[in-house]
Amino acid sequence: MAGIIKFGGSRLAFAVITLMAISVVTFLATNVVPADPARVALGKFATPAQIEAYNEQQGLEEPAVKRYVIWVGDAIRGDWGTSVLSKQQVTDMVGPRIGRSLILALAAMLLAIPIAFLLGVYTAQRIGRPSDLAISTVTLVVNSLPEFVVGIALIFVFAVQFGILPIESSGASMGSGISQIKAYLLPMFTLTIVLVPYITRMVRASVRDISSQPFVRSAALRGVPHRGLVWRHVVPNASLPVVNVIALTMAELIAGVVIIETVFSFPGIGQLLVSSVGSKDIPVVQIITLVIGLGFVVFNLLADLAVLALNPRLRSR
Amino acid sequence: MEPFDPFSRRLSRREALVTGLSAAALLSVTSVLAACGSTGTNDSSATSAVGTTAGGDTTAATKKGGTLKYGVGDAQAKDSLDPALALTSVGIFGHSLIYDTLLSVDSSWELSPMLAEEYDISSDAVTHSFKLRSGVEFHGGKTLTSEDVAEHFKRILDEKTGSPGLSVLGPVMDAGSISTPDPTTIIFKLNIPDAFFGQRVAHYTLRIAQAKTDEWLKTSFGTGPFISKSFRPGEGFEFERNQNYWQEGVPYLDSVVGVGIPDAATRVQALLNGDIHLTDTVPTSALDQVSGADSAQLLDVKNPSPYTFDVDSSIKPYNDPRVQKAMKMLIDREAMLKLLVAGRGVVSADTLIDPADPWSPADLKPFPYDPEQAKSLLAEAGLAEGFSEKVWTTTAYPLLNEGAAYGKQAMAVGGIEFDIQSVSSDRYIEAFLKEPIVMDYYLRQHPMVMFQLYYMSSSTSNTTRLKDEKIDGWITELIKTTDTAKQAEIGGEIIRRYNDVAAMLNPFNFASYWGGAGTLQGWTANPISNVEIRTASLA
Repeated sequence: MAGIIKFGGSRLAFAVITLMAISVVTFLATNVVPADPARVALGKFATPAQIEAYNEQQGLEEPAVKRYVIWVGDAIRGDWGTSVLSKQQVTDMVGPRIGRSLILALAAMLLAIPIAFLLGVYTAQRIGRPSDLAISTVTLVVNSLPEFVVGIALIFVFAVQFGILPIESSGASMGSGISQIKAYLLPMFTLTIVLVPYITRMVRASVRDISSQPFVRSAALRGVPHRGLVWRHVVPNASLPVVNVIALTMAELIAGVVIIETVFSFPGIGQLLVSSVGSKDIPVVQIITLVIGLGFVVFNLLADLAVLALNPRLRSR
Repeated sequence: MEPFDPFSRRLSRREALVTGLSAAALLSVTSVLAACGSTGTNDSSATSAVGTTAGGDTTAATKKGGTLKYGVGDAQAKDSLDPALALTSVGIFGHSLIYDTLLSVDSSWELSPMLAEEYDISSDAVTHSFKLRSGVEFHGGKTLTSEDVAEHFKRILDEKTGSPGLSVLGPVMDAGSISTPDPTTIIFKLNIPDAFFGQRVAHYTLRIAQAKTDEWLKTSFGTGPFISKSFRPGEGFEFERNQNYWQEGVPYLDSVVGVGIPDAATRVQALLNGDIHLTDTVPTSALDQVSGADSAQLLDVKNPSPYTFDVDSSIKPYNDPRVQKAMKMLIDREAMLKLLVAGRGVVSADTLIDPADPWSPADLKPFPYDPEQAKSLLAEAGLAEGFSEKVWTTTAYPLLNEGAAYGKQAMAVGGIEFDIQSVSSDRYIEAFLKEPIVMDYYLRQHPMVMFQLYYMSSSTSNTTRLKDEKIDGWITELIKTTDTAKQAEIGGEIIRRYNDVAAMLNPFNFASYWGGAGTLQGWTANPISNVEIRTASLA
């Protein structure tokens, strides 16, 4: 138990330090961009008096260190500031989009994991056979394709040719019922197709590795049926290294949806990040960057804890 | 006072003062943004291309009801329901659905009554009186009064509001110019005469909102044909029919849903697929695709945009009339029109004024394409060996790089070497009013506004830096002139002279096309909002 607490505590401490580092880099990066926040907020015809008043109101005349401390403190308390463009609370702007991006990423992951496991386990048992070669080749090719290519291909098939799904996903926020669900499908399928090859290859390699272990041979010699051998003995053990891969992939997904959201006009965090960077809406960019960083840290932490929970050897250290 | 008869097509002298003019105008007193704010598609109202429609078929049986889905190209976080802050498509088009102006303007620059049913101008063009339509209610049920109008104008005039409308009203009035003798009358006593004030009040920032409004995102504060049910900056909106709208029988649609689709190709495909019924500017590359589709139509919004090389008239060698003329004669305007926009547009004299607009002299022709004479003129100017110049352009706005490349080829014939500087949009905007030659295009506005913005020596938007006393004097005279015949005479002289003395190169004008579903009918083109859908329906 002490080992678990020690391991978990060290990972948590590392996560906090990482987050602090992310916040510093984010603050520095967004404070050296060549844009005057007051000018962005008030427009190019703002008078010097207006700009001065704005800077004073927003505390932009304070030293950078003091501004950083205030900013981090506010962010931790949930006060994410106000968009310089829309004058909306950043919380109101970013909150719903985080939800939609998370749903998209989680749905894609939930679809991709079982598919990848099935394919990985199947091919691992048929190494070198035509079916293994075919699936491995296809996964390799798909893995090499950029996300937007997959997205455009799906748009062409399902939206343009068959017309059964919407070409863009604005319905995720502006639609309701079926139209809202439909808005998620093409981006979700795209992400799934992008995820499956990588996880499949990891599962395949891991299953193959575990299958050669003595305890598997021993179980086989004991007469354990093939299906039971695979799903009760091999797959659970082969899953351990894959858990880390999945967690890292999930973290990457949070950031990676930027491209997919742009392709499909999906109203998520990535689309808002792109538009906010373009319009130099610094408070929004800062918070989204922090949220994405937080996503990486949290999923990494969860992966570490999951491995700890699944691996008795780690627990006993 | 002579009342403004909203239903008469015959204009009295005073009514005529406000006819043929627009307030769309002043829309961006910044030459830079005004000149580049629209994405580049092409065609001309004068040469409406095959496969386009120039207004909905109002003779067809009208089917009421339905939801129109509008694909917004530039949905942005700065979108707001505050009409004072309208700047993006959602503001310029979307606000037209939930707010009304005192007067409206059509594609011929004719004014007609909206919230004001009477409009009167004093003979010295200083006092402008508006009588409000009675019984008009805001969406929340409050009756419209002159105080609402006064407060809205005062908000625009307040620097703290940060409204682009300040540049529309600021030059002629201040908050003290407004009086409200009774709840249905509002009087503007301007600081200077302005025979064109009627157009100013049709500006998109002057759509009237209920007084003392501050929670813009939470409810609906207009008098317009639709009521805002939800509004999410950067994502879209949902507007429902105003059952209590003052204009009987309209709108026909039950609701309008706006959805942000930033990518132009995606918007076009969504239109072709039937996912949306309306979209803003269709890119040039997709014009044939949309016009050739059964499921969609091109909507000619009748806002031809001058496409230009802005040349500094105040420096050597461009202040030499021979060099100016030579450069104008080195451009094959027809060829450039075909090459850049597939012929969808109209060749123009170098005036920034569309040939179909008021005051444009019918006999004014562009300088002919004549490279030999151009070479002679350059030789006369001592430039037989030619010269080199940087030309500033960007990929941030469509067609500019292509035009610069064409210009490089054309000018090379006369020995003028264009050194093309294709830069970021920030650097490109910095080049305005600083660098000798900048590629550009302009939003169509009423000629009077174009004069004030781009012809006047004192204007901060004078992109050619032309300083011509005659033009300045004529513009000053024109703004005070209430006689329409005299206006046309002076306006024509101004345009002719600008063509002769400014170093501006304006080979052609092109118009924006919006995209509409094949089932969309009853829409009309509008110089302010581009498309007017009060009487639109989905068949």
